[in-house]
Amino acid sequence: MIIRKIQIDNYLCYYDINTFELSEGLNIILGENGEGKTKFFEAVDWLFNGENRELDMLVSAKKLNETEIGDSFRVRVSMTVEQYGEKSIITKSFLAKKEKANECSTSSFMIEGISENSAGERTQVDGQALLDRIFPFQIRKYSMFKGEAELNIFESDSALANLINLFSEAKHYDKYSEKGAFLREKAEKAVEDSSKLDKKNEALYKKLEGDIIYLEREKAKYLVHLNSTEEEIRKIEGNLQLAESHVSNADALETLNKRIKDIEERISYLAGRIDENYTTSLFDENWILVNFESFHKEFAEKVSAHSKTKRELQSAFDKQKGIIEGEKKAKAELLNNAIPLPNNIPSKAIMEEMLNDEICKVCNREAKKGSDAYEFMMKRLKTYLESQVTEENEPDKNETLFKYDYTNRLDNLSISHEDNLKNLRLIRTKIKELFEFNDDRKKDIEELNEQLEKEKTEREKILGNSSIGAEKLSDVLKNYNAWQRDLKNRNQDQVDYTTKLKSLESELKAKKEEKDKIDTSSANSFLIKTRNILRDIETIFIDTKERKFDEFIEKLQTKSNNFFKTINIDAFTGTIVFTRRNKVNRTIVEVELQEDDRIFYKPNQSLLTSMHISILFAISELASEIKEENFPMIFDAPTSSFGENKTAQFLNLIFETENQKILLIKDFLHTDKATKTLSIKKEFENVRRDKAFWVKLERPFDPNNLKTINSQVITL
Amino acid sequence: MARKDDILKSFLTHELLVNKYELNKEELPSTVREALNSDKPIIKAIALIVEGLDSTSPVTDSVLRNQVTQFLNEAL
Amino acid sequence: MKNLFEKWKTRIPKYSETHKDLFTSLSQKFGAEGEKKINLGKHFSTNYELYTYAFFLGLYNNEFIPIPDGEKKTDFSHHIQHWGSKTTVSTRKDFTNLQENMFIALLAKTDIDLVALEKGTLDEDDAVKLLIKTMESYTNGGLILIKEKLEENPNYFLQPTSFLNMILETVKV
Repeated sequence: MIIRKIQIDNYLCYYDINTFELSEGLNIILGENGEGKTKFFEAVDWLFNGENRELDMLVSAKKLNETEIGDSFRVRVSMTVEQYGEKSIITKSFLAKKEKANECSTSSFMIEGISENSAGERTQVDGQALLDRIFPFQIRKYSMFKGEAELNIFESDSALANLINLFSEAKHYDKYSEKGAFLREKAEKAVEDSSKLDKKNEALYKKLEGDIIYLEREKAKYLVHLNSTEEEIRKIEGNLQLAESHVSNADALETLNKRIKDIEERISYLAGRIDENYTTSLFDENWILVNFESFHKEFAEKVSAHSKTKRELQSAFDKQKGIIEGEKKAKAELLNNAIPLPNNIPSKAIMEEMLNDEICKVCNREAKKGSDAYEFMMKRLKTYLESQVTEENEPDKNETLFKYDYTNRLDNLSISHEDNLKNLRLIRTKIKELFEFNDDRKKDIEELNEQLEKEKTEREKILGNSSIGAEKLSDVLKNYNAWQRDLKNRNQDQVDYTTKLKSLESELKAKKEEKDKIDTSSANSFLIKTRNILRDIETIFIDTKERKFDEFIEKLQTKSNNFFKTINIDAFTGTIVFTRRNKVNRTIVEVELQEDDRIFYKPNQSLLTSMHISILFAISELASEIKEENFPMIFDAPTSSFGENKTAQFLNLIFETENQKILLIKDFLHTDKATKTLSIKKEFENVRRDKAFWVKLERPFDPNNLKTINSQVITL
Repeated sequence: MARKDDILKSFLTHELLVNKYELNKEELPSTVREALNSDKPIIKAIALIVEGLDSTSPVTDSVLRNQVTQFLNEAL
Repeated sequence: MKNLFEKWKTRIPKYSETHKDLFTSLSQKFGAEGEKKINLGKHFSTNYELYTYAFFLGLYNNEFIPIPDGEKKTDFSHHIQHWGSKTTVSTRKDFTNLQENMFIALLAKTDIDLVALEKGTLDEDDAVKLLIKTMESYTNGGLILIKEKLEENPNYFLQPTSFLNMILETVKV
């Protein structure tokens, strides 16, 4: 189908009659903002979809101004099309009657159709029916593109799915999967009823049915959780990507993030090494003994004084005893009647060593065998050994001075702790060292914190070098860390839900198999066989339908990417990916831009535009293949976010697609700064097209006075 | 080739028929008319359904169900 | 050979009931280690730790203040011989050795007629009683010091170094 001519009479800025004689292929209409470009688009849109409402708003002010009160004129948009060799004219119009200055009433709203056959004979036909026949509304919907904001006709979940259903064979298969399910359900019910009749299995069967119902419900529940978690993940990743996309240098950001993480880990490590459990260390490290030395000294002195006293007393006692009892206990007398040392000091081992070496090792004098010194030591040793024995053998015989010996143990205590004194002296130093260590670690941490602050500021700066406003940016920054945390949690949720679903699935499978087993054994075997066949048939139907759907999507995807690459040649491309997702009770199709398997969540406007234009061209191409007919496409300013290069690419591309295109753009127009006159840039001569027009307002005009507004059409 | 034949053929390409029902690719019919005369129950059953839904005179649910079950009753 | 130390450590020393609050706020009966101790906001994991601390504090500061006869005494039912045993706690070290130190200090500071003890004229139990009395007196002194510090500055002990500092700052006698 080709539009041969569009005529706009007295519609808004189009005063009187304005004609566009269009050609096949690419028609470019140039126009500055506000000079009639978009109104052209709106006129065509009104022709296709306009209703009998607020018509007085559509009247050309200039024309109204010229009309006498009481007179009327027609506002009209008409289109001449050619299809299968036949010409048709569709006109939508209404009558405007001037009632007062600047006011009119409207009437006679109509849509007319004229059909002209090859012989040139014209017949009047129903305008609406003619329009729908020539340019079916489903195709119209995807052929008119108004501005970049509205290019995203795929926002709604089902839009794309509906489109696919419209064009692909998949729509024929809907009823099969429906019927397949219907037949299978009936067959399964028949089997169940038959099984139930077998009383033996009734209880078990009922329980299994109950279990299965419960599991199905659980599964549905978790599916919902999983879906919403996945949506949240996508949302968060989108937000994060948005934040990161505004970063002019994404690599630097990544490096910074890693550095920040390293510093934080180091700080955490150092903090862990600081030990400030001082109170506990009083005990565990014995620091509480820091001032103990003097007390030990007191103790040692007391004990040794007592020991001496004891020996004194004992000595006196023994002397007395010795006189009375004779030589029972041979005591070696000391020079000067000095108080002898306790029996066990020096110890037996040391005594034996000294005797063996024939030296008194305390004063370093010889004690050769037979000498006084030697005999003295020998007697001592003997006395000690005898004392060890005597105690046990003769408890009652001897009257002892001292019944008990506490001194021995006290002595030992004194000696053993004497050794430890050197450790006590070190305590203050140890404490000081620990304080210093902790202080050093704290200083280190402080330095690291300063560094951390710097890095974070740096990161904020990078995030701040972005193209979004300060307000939004501060939101983004504020949320950045929270989103990262959320993402981690949601990802964990996703894993959990997926695992749970898997286990539910396997439980379900087991239960169903159990149920089947019962069925197989009890129900009528014919019913079983029937049910099994119908189960398979349903599977076949569903699988085939999905396959058809996927085949179409595959085609759509390939075509879209071909167009996409062409528009974006020499620049980032990525891949357009269509995914079919089976939601709870409907199928949706999602479109994503991916680069190396990573989803690109928030592409910039230019990318989005080229992505959608590619998809729409792909759809158009597919529609042509399926319907075996071409339909025109009308674009209003699709390239405003494109740079010069991309615009040139785009123009070349759409020049080469087969169907008719009408393209409204404002590029290639130049306003002279001094004279304010408009002219067409030289570059436009190189732009390939089949025909070009220029709509501009008649000069001079007053932008505040609609009566001066008159768009003129210049064919170039 | 009528659409219903295309639809039938697209169903018959499903792997279940080859794997589970052990049918040869060559044995598969290419029209609904042919399939309605098949001696393989699953093929005929599918053909019945396609005929019921996509022929020039589609049938109601209960009729379709009856057709299929009666046929299977006889064939199995 | 007799061992006065062994005998002494089977006892359970007491403290004045006026200090009950200190024990409930600063330490945890039956013990609280690690996270639990932090959660409960205690400085000492066990009652005996506080008791030991107060003893040394009183000892180093020479604050020998016997519990007045009229005051009621109480204890936390934990024999000295178990004090410092941390075998069930992996995060703490065993400090049962401090028992010996306490005994040493007590013996040094208590007037016991050792000769009479060894002759048998002084009953071992009585000797141990004397030791315990000294212990309770020094501990009482230490607890009073802690109480006074808290009255002076209720936030004093919030620093991790406070208890350590009190010991380190002791004017050596």
